[in-house]
This record gives sequence, structure tokens and C-alpha cells, in this order.
Amino acid sequence: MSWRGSGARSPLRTFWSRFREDRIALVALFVVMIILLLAIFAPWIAPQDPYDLSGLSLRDARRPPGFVGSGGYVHWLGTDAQGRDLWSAILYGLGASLQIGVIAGAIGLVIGTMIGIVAAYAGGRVETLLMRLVDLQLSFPAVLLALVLMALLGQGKAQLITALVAAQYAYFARTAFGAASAERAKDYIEAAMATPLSNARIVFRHLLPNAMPALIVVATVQIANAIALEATLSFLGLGLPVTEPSLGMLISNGVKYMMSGRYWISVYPGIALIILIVSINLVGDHIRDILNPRLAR
Amino acid sequence: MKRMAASLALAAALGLSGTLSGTGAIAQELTIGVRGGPESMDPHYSALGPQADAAKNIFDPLVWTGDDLQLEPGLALSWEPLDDDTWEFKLREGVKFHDGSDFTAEDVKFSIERIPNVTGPTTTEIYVRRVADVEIIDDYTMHIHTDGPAATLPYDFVRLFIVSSEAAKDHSTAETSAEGFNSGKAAVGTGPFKLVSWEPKGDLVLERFDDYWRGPAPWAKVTRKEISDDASRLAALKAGDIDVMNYVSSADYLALASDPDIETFIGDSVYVMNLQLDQRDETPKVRAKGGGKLDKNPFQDPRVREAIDLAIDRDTMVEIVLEGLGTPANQMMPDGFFGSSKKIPAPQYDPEKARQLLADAGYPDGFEMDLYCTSDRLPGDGAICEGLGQMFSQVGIDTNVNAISKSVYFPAQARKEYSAFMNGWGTLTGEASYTLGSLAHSPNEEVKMGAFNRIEYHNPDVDKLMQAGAKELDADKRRAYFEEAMEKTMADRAYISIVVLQTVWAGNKDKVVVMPRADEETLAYFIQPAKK
Repeated sequence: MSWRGSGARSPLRTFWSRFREDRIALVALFVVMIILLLAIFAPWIAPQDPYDLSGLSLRDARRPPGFVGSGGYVHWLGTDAQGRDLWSAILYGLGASLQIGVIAGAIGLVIGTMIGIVAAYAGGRVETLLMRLVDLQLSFPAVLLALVLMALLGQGKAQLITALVAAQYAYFARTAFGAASAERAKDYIEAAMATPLSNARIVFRHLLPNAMPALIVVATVQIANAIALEATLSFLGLGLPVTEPSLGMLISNGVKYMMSGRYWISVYPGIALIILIVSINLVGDHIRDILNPRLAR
Repeated sequence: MKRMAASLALAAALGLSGTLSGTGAIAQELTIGVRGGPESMDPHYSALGPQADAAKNIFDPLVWTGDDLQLEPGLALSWEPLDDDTWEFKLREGVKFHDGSDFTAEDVKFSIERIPNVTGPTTTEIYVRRVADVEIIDDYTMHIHTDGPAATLPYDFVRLFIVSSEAAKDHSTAETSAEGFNSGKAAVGTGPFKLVSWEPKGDLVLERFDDYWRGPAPWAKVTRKEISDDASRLAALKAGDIDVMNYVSSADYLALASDPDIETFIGDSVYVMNLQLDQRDETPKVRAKGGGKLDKNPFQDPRVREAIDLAIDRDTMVEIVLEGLGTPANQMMPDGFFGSSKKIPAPQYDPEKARQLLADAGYPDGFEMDLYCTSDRLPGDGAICEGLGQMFSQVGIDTNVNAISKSVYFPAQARKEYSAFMNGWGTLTGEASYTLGSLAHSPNEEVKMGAFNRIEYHNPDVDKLMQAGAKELDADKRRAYFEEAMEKTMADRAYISIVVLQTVWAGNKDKVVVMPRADEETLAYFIQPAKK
């Protein structure tokens, strides 16, 4: 039997075969994939470009689901206060939310991991300084921090991502530090340090890969958190421009119409947001279960 | 969503207490929920609307304004100019202060003279800025000397509240006024209600003054609760915790219209939404499509301005965006205001012609601009802004809509950072010198006009007419000057008026009838008990 034949033993295959065991996680993964595809291909799927003002008509505003608007097609989920087709707005909004969540999550991951690993590897005063800073920030509610930053930085995509990264990197730093300092104490790192290998090589070849599983779990959860946080900020009016609504802003725009019975403006984007966040979290939770050695069979 | 759930829970809780106290059948008690409250019980402390709204329950202004903001006799029975810099005011006899003393010319003089000593940061000195000297002829006649011809002096006095010279004697410096007035000691006026108690940001409690000169109020006790959140105020009304509320939002208005227990009262406001187009040679927020620089500011071309005017579908704006709570505007003041012109044609909507005009002006493909507006100041401002963005984009002007907070918008607007921008303007005095003098006259420190002209609009004819009007003491001639200035300003289309906003009050159907006022005040005296 060649090593290729023992493919079932390769970490990815093992991982996948274990992931498949949980039906719910599998469905969640499927949903995440569908949402990703919908968001990527939104410009081709959506009947309307909700960001193109000249394509909207106020005459179509706040129409209930099933209304046939001036565009000649059916608004299956109704329209919002500016005459946007809600189905199109949700598709584009999913894209905006995912994009911001993933970018903010990725940047947070890189920055946080660097801080955590440097602290773990260097130890001593560097560790104290970096990790106490991280602890200090973790004691602060992320929403509050993001709100303050948005107020200071102003509105816009870059500002929003900056605020999300600043609010979230600490979680990555904590996780990376925990995983890396556990590895740091192990004999193989001690052994590697005894050789003339450079610090960078030890960190990147030995420390980082071994801290990776924990980071992947945190990253999935944090992407979901970033999306929720972005929706919160947009809901409070501090997110993206009004003419390019993300899910949070769509919900916020519709809230004031809830009392007058025009539920669809808020409810459908709300459902989309819930599905997105719940499925990412389910996938993340299951990955954590698989990678957690305590739960290993 | 969370906040909504919380206010629903609150509503449920209040509903319980509302029905309990409601069974007591205290018909003469009125509770009003207001969005904003006063900053002090000293009526001369602040010039902001909520201050005057509260103060008018306790104090009377020298000159009264009716529901449509036109002048009516109040404490002053009549007024006329004697010469270029003297006005004679005849005062009403038999008016009593809350402490039983008589109202005389002495109290007016005292009130005018104490203003500079006690006013806060939003200064009430604007109401007496033209007064040079106050001369008492007898108890009920006085001559006001001004620094030059002051044609609009009676309009300035609609917010000159009269306090008792006796009661406020020792409370008329910056240090002593708050203590004297907020405790109620010095807060003695001639108004329909006596002050019982007031908590900042909380309840203002009033009690009927039986010797009020217009006759006693229908309510023995009035409580004005300050509830700034629109949803909470509405929840309090639905729960029966308050009987009347002001500033119902357009979204809630439709929901209330189908509520059998609640009546809504709609009135025209003084606020008109005006689009303003920068007239400077270089303007920052306009560019060719794709980002290239334009040779000149397109807004200097009258054809471009006309195209923009024609691109606006005002009927849709009112019907859809404001849900019917407004009227299309063709000038910067509502109908019937002093200086509004009947000759200005009704606005047209013609996107075809707009495109043609843009092509004629050398922009066959249109151009790109950033539009700025407030989003949190007046009902519907942000939504109107987005609607404008759609309408301009449809005639080929790609518009980036920036509907932003008033705290960001106004400072930047004052620094002239915008090219095309929209905000509301309220003609609070009911006449054109306030509006055209501030917006349409060229900026000019010397004549104290054009202070809010942020687009450097300059029309020498308008300047001349406004200056002549400000000095003209004959009301008919002055009106003619203002009307002509309004016609010329609107014809130039550097200011494009879009809609007149309406204000909505809501009240308990079985209990109250509210008379809408253009200045948006909610005066307890004029709220009538519902007839059963």
C-alpha cells in the first residue's frame, strides 16, 4: 500500500470524513456555500441593481411582496422605502456583509496571530506588555469600541473595516497566544531553538502550524461576529452609505414601518442575516468539535 | 428591533397604570408628551423652539402670532411707527400677573432690558437687537426707539416674553436668574398657567391661572412630559399615559390613522426643504462622469439649474416619501406668509425637457455630483435626499447621496464644502426678511444680511429689494418689495424649493382636539376638550 493509498489518513480527508458525520453541520455548510454563490453572482441573479439610483423609482416604494413594479417583474419580497426590490437588495447586501466580515476577519486574524505568537515566543516583558493590552481590550465590549471608533473615523467601507478589526483582533491574539505558548513549552521547540535555526523559521514552520487549528475555529466564529457587528453598526446608522445598504441598514430602514404593518422591509433582510450568521456559526462549532482533542475518539 | 420590543413592553406596563389612573375621571387634567423641553424656566434664557413652546404656557409675548404666524394683538393691542426710528406700542389694560399685580409698560421695559443680562448661548438678544431705548409715556403707552428704521420690530417681539418687574427684580443677572425662575419664585407671568414645578429633561407641571385675560383655560392641571424618543412617546400615547403628543413621524402617522382611539391633527409647518446650488466659480463636489474635471461650475448655467428643477417630481416626493404629509413648494416660504408671492408658477416635472436643457448647456451625457443633506433633523429629510438622487440620476446627473447627521452637515455647509445640498429652513417669524434676508441676500456683514447664504448667490436686484424692504415702514410697500425679491430669487433657481413639510400631532380621541400651529408649538390653552 503506497502512501497515496492511505489517503484516508491525510489530515484533510480525515477532517472531511468526520465533518460529514454531522448532518446539521453539513446542511449549514451547504447553506453557506449557496449564500456565497448568491452573493458572488448577485449582479446576474438579481432582477435590479439596487445601488444604481437611476434604476429605482419612488413610485414602486414600500410595495408588498408579489407587487409587479414599473420594471415589469414581480417583487417577490416587496420593495423598501426607496423603491428597491428587496430580493435584489438582500442579495447585494449579503455580498456587502460577507465581504466586510471576511476582510475584517482576515485582517484581524493576521494582526492578532502575530501579536499572540510574538508574545508567546518572546515571553518576559514583551509578553506582559502585549497580552495585558489584549486583556484590557477584551474587557471592553466590542460594540462599544467599534461605535466609538466609527464616531471618530467617520463613515465608509475602510473605516468600517478598521473599526471591526480593532474591535476583534484581541480574540485572535488571545487564542494564538494560548495555543502557541502551549507549544512553546514542548520539547520539540526547545530542541529547535538549540539548533542555529532562525527565530522566524521556528515561528513559521513549527509554532504557527501547530496553533492553526484553534485559529481556524476562532476565525469562522469571528467572521460571523464581524457580520453581526457590522449589521449592528449599520442598524445604528454608522455603517455604509445609505445608497449601498448592507443587511443591517436594510433592517434599520424598515423598522420604523413595522408599526404600520409593512413588515417585509425589515423582516426579510432580518431572516437573511439570521440564516447567514447561524449557518456560519454551526459550521464553526462543528469544526471546533472535530479539532478539539478532548472530544476526539 | 430590541428597542422596539422594549418600548412595546414599556407600553404594556404603562397601559396598566394608564387605565388605573384613568378610572379616577379627572377630566380637567391634561398630560402632553413633547419631543423637546425648555432649558430653563427663565423665558429669556434661550431662543430655541422648545423653550418658547414651554414658556408660552406661563408667559405672554408682547405681540401674539396666530396659528398661521401672522401678527395679532396680544399684550400689545396695537403698534405703529411714529417716525423712522420710533414705534409706538399701546398695551392691553386689565391684564393681571399670576401674583395679582397689574401688567404695565414698566414690565415691558424691564423685560427688554434684562435680556442681555440673562440670555444663554443661543441668544434671545436677536429679539431686541434693534432696540436703542425704551420710553414709557404712560402705564399703557410706550415708545420704542430703534437704531435706524426697523420695519420688522413687531415681528421680533413675537418672542419677547414679558416677566413681572416686581417678581423678577432680584433675579435678573446671569447668576441669579436660574435660581429665581427654576424654583418658581420669579417665574410670574401673565400667561394662562402658573408654574408648579419643573425638572430639567423631565416634567413641567402647570396649574390654571383663573384670572387669565383671555379667560380661564379648559384644563385645571397640565403636565408636559419630555419624551425625546419618537417611538416611546407614541407608546406612551397608545398606553394612555399621555393625552397629546407632538411630532408624529410619517411612518407612524399611517399606523395611527387606523387606531380607533387616537385622532391625528395635521398642520402646515414653517419648514420648506430647499436644494441649494453653489454659485462660486470653483465648486468642490461636481465632476465629469468618470471623475474628470469640468471646465466650469455647471450650476452657474441657468439651463442646468432649470434642468435640475424640472427633474424633481414633487408630487411623488410628497405622496410616497412623505406619505402625504407635505405639499409641493415653489418658493422658500409657505403660502400666506408675509412676502410669499402668488405670481410664482407651480413647479413642473419634465425629465425630457431636463435632459434637453442639459444637452443644450453642453452636458449631453450629464455629469456627476455629490448631494449632501441632513438625515436626522426634520421628518423625511434623508428620504427626500435619496429620492432626489434617483430623480437626478434619471436625467443623467449621476448623484452620490450623502444623507448625514446634522452635527456633521451644518459645520461643513458653513465652511462651504458642498456644491449641491439640501436642508429645511423654517420661516420662524412668518415674514420674508428673516428668510430671504438670510439666504438670498449676498453675504454682507455691514447690513447684517446673507448670513446663511452658503452658495454665494448674488442678485443685485434681490439685494436692493431686501434692503429697501428692511427700511420700509409701510407694510403694503414692504410686502411688495419682499414679494418681488422672492419672485426674482426663485426665478434664478439657485435655491430650488421642494416641499413644505407638515407636522402631525396625535391625541386621545375622547379627550382632546388639537389646533395645529405653523410654528409647531403645542400650547395647552388652545387644546380643547373633545365634545362627547
